[in-house]
Amino acid sequence: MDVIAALAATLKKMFAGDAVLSLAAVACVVLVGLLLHAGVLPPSAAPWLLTFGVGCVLVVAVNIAVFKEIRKSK
Amino acid sequence: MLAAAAPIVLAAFLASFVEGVEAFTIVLAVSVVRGVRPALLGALAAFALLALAVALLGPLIARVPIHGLQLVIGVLLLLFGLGWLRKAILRAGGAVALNDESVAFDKQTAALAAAADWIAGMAAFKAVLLEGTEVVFIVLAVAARPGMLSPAALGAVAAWLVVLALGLAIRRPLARVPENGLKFVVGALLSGFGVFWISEGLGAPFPLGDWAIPVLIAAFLVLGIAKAAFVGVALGRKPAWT
Repeated sequence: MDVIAALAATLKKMFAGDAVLSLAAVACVVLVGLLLHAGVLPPSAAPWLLTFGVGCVLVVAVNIAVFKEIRKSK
Repeated sequence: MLAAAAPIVLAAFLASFVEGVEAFTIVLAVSVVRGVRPALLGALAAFALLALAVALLGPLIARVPIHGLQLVIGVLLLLFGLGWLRKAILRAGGAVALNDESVAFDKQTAALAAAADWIAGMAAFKAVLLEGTEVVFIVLAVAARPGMLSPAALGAVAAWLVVLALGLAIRRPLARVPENGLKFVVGALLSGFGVFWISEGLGAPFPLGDWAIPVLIAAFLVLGIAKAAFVGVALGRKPAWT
């Protein structure tokens, strides 16, 4: 049982270690997919918009962690 | 073909190397405190289970429709890669302490001092199984196209053999391995693959084809390095890249 619990914890850490980062990244993918299939976004622009969106998600997630660290150290 | 295979082998090798170093620390601790037998039995049992997982899941994945598979695998790779990259940026910028394998080794040997042989063996089994699970996922995920499973698996196995050879040569935890630097690169590799597979899965592939993969990896690396430098400045701490 101990091994199964540890395995479950590892899987959670792998894909949802930071809930904000994971949810925002999935939301970004869903948004690009919806815009693409609605015909609003041209297929040639979708990969670049996705890359930009994911980059922004990463930057925001790091910023949140840094702000938390600054607040903790004050 | 080479443009597609090289980043896949590199991602499998580097990710496997980082996880191998962490697993080796615990297996070595078991070996030092309780002897080679429980360490070896635990590690081999975990390896057998992981090999079985690859043998079963590899062909099964090949039967799933390619676009759906690329989308699902791409999202999982992206989540995994961004997590590694975020942590590596925070460590490099000084916001989170660097991982120290010597400290992990000391903790493990202290915890195992009073343990029975089978408990020590289980510790080795768990370490290899848990770190190996991440490697298995990465191997299966980056190889999510026909003919790429073997090169990815070879890259992963080669990395664990290198870790084993280094570990047997120095008989100490591999504390001088630049773990955070490697995690930085692996995070960028997995994130790059994730975005690439998602785009293919959505039916909107990059115009550059397979050459988009190294471009994406480079973009995530540059973004990560710039962000880590920013974190260091914001916190007034010296960046620690390795």
